[in-house]
Amino acid sequence: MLFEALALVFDPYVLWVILASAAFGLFVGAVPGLTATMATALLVPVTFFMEPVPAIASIVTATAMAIFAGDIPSCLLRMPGTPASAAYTDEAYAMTKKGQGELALGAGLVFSVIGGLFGTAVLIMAAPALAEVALKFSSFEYFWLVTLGLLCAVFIAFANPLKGIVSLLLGLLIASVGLDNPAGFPRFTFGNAELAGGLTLIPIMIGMFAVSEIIRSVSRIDAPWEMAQAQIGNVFRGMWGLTKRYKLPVLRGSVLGTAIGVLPGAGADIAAWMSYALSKKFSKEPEKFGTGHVEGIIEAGASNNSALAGAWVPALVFGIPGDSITAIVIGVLYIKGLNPGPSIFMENAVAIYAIFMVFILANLLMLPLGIAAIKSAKQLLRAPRDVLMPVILLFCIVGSFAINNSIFGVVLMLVFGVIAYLMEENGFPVAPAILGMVLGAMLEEHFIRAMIRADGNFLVFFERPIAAGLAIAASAIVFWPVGAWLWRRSRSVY
Amino acid sequence: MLRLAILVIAFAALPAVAQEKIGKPVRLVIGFAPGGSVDLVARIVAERLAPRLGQPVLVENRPGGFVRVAIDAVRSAAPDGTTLLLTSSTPLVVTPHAYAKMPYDAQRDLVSVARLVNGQQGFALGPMSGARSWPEYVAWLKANPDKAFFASSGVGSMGHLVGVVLANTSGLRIEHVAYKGSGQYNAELLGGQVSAGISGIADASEFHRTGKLRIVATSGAERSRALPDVPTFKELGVPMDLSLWYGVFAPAGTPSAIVELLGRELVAVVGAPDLTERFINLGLDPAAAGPKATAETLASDYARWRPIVQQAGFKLD
Repeated sequence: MLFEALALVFDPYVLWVILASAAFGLFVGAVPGLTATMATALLVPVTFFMEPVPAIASIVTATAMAIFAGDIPSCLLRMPGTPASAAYTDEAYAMTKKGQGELALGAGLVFSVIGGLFGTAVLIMAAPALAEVALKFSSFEYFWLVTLGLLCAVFIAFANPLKGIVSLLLGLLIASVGLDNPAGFPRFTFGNAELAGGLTLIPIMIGMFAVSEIIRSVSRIDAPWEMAQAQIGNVFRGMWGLTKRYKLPVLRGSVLGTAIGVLPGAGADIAAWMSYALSKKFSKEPEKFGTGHVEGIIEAGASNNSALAGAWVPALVFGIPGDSITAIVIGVLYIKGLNPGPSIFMENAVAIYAIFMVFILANLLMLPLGIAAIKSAKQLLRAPRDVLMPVILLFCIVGSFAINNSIFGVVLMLVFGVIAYLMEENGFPVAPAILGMVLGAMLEEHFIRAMIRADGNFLVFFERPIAAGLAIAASAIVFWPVGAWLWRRSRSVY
Repeated sequence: MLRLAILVIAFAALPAVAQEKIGKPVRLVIGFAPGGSVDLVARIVAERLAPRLGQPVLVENRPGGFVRVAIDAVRSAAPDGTTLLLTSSTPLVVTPHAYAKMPYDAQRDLVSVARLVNGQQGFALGPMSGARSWPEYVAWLKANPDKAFFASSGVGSMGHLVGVVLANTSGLRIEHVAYKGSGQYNAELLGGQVSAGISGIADASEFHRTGKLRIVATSGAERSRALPDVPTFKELGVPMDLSLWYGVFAPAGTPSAIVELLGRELVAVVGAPDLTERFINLGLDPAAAGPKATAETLASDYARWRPIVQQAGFKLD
């Protein structure tokens, strides 16, 4: 059976499809505003003409490449290509400014591959069992998980928690606009159909990171642009050192990423944020975070790619999407007659093994293609700033328009670019606002749903074991600084 | 980079042949993110429609605001047959009665092109209650009033409305919990977090076939061809005749020759025997009809739903 699967994968046509989708994924991921989800949606009509294995292979390969490629503009130009990169955009850009852009990208690449392979290994070995566990998560658990994600970001990841909270609240406010809330009630819509549809994350994210950076560079026209980049002759040699040095963060990122990916309600973006925060919390040198330190990038980079593989667990076992990409994949699986369900592992064993092999192949292929992409993308930094900035703005506009094919996206991008510029000039970080937008709707939905089921009794939020555990972790993050302060005070009295 | 671009273009190229009547690629706009049953139907139809029109047909996802964003995009587009809306009938005939103020009026702003399929709602039980039929579930509900919740794929969804009507006509006290999309609530239904869910048959039929969920009743006047062994609520003594349909619409003012052409091609697409089977597998009953019949259904459904929505006390703003 294994040989049959091998024969399916190592068919020249399938290999060609994998290579072409890899290039396609790299391109889509590297253009800000074009996401891995969009890459998948664009591939669907093409897969109609293919056999099941190459059809799925094209999606697996393109998405893995796109998530990694999102790191490239994020690192070099401070334009996260996908929301999953936003968690460590500032860190990677700080490294580029220090001349370590290639190191940051190399680490993003190598640890994306490691995370991806880890997630794949888990998918191959434990999918049915893990999927059962994932179903134990209900609104109570998701509520605490999201709360934990938000608290992690605000209390751990940023130097000034107060300004972080203000930024986060802005994000939550933006997330509440529109009709898509648990009551279906129009909020802040002013009778406008675009506002009724809610404010889309991607254009806002591009505006807040990239446009604010463009405004800043224009306003300081005399500042030096030169960012001399240190050369790394052999990307891998440096990486082996990093792997040995940061083996625990790599493992932690991969495990957490896979676990969050497996949950039907959470995906690569939350995984990256939580991993970045965990990395800082347990680091021996947390003071270096935010100044261009590679440790957080390693952990979060491993995390978001492992989440990608993890999301296939509930998708294959139950036909329940683990993220927005697998939501599309499930449709393709049905069209191709590979109906998801526990029996898929028996009825379509050969096809499933072939798909697993594609996962491994795609992750390995990421190394050579990724290095080529890094080497060529880095040339961007040598372009003169007065040429580069308008081109970046052009890409921002294209990406913001493309997400909903709507000019409203471009307006959003520009407005939030100005808002973010004003925020950062006054010391408010923009990343928590992005996180608030990503998680705001989820937080509200799960809270309302849980409250309905608990009949308004908040104590029920602590009754279930996993929920209680997550609640304790969330409280610990809030009360740890207070407790530590009280403890120090009581010691100094005596 | 250039080589990348060439690959991408080669990859995305679709067969395109010049055609007389519609001279540009057609956008088929839908109001949901990729992955749901509307998206799936749109992609199947687009695949078949493209060679018939000799133009690429691109599915464009414009999610948000209960299809409002998509409707807005289509009604303000050029009325030349190149921008079409594919939607379930819910946002056109049901939702307008639940809001006091509505920015669009389907019969004024859109012109009907074709009806594609009918869809019933299924009442699905997860493992939580242990019940295997409607009477067993009713007994369980009476013994466990604190667990009397049903899930739907969202506030204002057809599943929500069927639940409200069900509670009103059967006298059962059962409360609504809204999820975002069917994937989310299927997860909780399978995991035993909530006892029952109401959604399009398409969203639950695969779980029903594999025995993970059990659809115990359907909402239409007659049994669904996709689930011939499942009784309707009517047969079970609960008066109900609620179903929706998927249709294609163009902006008002589109020339009738183009509407007729598109309607004819769409009816032919849906009528293909292999597609019939594919739709039934998805839990949808093929019900192809041209522009005139679709417009009549739209008008009569709009009038029919008003009292149902009002009696159900179904208000959203």
